[in-house]
Amino acid sequence: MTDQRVDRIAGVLFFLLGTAVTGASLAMPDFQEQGASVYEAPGLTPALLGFALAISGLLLTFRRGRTGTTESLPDLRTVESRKRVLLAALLTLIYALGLLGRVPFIAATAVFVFSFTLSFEHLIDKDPSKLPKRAAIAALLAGVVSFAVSFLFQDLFLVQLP
Amino acid sequence: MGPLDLIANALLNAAAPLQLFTVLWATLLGMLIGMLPGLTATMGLALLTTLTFHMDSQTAIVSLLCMYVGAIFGGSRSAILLNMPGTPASAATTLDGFPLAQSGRAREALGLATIGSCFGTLVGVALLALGAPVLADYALKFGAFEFFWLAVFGIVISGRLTAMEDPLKGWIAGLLGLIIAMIGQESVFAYARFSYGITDLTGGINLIPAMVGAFGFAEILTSIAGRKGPVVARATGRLLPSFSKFKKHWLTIPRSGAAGTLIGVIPGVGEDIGAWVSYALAKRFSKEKDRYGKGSEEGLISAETGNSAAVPGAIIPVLTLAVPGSAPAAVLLAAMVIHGVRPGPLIMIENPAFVYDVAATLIYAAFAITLLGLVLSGSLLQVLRIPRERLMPVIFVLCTVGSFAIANRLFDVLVMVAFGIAGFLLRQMKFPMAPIVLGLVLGSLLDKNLRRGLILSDGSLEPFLTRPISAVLMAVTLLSVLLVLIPFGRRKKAGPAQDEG
Repeated sequence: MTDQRVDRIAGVLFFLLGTAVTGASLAMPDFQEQGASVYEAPGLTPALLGFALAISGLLLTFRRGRTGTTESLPDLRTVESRKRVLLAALLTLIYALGLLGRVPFIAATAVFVFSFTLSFEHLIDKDPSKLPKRAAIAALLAGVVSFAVSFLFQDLFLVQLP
Repeated sequence: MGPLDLIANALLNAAAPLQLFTVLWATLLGMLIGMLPGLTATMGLALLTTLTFHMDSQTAIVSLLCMYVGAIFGGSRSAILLNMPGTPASAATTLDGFPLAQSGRAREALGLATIGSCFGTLVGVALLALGAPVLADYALKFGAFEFFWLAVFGIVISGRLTAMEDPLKGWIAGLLGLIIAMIGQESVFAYARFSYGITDLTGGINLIPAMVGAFGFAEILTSIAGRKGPVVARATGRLLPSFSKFKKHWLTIPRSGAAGTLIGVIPGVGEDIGAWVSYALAKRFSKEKDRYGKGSEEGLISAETGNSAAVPGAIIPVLTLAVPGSAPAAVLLAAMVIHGVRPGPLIMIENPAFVYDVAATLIYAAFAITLLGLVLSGSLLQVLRIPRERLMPVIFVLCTVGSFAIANRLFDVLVMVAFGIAGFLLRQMKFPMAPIVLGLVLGSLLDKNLRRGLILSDGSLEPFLTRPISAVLMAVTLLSVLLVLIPFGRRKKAGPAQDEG
């Protein structure tokens, strides 16, 4: 996707977000019935900020094409890099939003570190003969990390874990 | 007592064995974090903050300051050996550091960078000790009108300088940060804005999980996107540079140090711009301009002096105005508040010794980076050989635990993830992160002082425009916007400056 096209899409999104923020801010109560000044209204500042964002979004959308700038989305340009980012996002989301809080911390962390390490090492080199050795390394790393983080935070620094 | 006596006192007080041990481990940890591409000073500080909850306030702040200095310095190791800045602050270091490494002088480049960073920090500390009391005294004259303009000025200048190629994106990033800061209860009526009945949102967005997401998780996604990891150059040659080298470039250190510190003072700009400005300044006055970019020792020293000097520079507004000079300084500000320090214009009245304690800690941190940088130069480099595929999941676990530990709630993990994904996408579209962070910090300052100012003036905008300090801040702010928006203001790009610290 070209730089200009990405900017235009982002500009429209920011315009819509700015407009929505302004609209929601104007709908906030102004507490004038309690004798408050109109300048104390909670929606005053966010309304102005939303307006400024909407204008900036319009400027981004309708400005002339820029030359000499670097291309947007450098890490999402190839199919392979998109696949890697999506896999990383998926694994991290499953761990942070799915496993933590539902599964004990040490087990959740061990599963996450093991699957992340093994998936990405396998993506780089798909040689099946190396899989057992990689799985062993990933399992060792998973065990060490989950116990070490638990000890460091919970026992040494007295910080509660999810 | 003058500033020198106060610093001498603070240096003696901080010389206790336990404090010196804290200086050493925190600086070393900072160096390790700074060295690893994908781990930034901001993220290191945010994660360490969660570990300091149960420490006493002094140890906690000493460890955070040393982590900050260590991480900015640590970035130079990977910049020189991998041609990949460990933190964005070391981007300018790659220009001459890597060519020096390629020509078989890697160890010498590491040594030059170490000494440059040490002197840069010391120049910055001197300016902090001299400048902070003056700025704090001046800030006492600030009222609602001035604080309003200070917030606007910070966002506009930060947006302008962190996105030199496209300032509009820098300003949009700043506005996003300010709008996110509006979420939750406001200060006058405790009305929960943009909360939609979600209890966790009424308390607002916590800065630390947001920063761990924007600088940690986003960096993990960026780092893992590339197929192959970097190749580490061989560290050969002499480590300690000869005295004659420094004699030859003696003017570069104070000049780059002063430039780095001044850039650091500007709200939300940070160490990377400090390094670029110092580098550009050194090149301008250099007798060997043609060597720049091809392995110039002077270029390397100027970049490293500049980014290290920007650290004390970024702390000056934290202490005197409660406004961060950079993204890591924003975490430092939040951590100081957590540990019961009240930075701001009253600091020289309420807690003057604190400013000099900070200066003394930074001096010890400067010596620690020199000692550790020279003694452990070889063994530390082994860390750079850890494959990303094994390092990144560990970092994400730390991001998650660090975000959760702030308030023991999974909502903050959700905030971290949301900021990480949004931060990654915004970076891909060339939006800088630093103005978002500054917006998050300055949002309440802007809101409170705009409303207070309008009530004081009964709705008149006159005091916002005519009071001397307000008028100056407004003029600089408007000028920097107009120079970008009006076609005749379009100038040559000043450098590949993008983002963060």
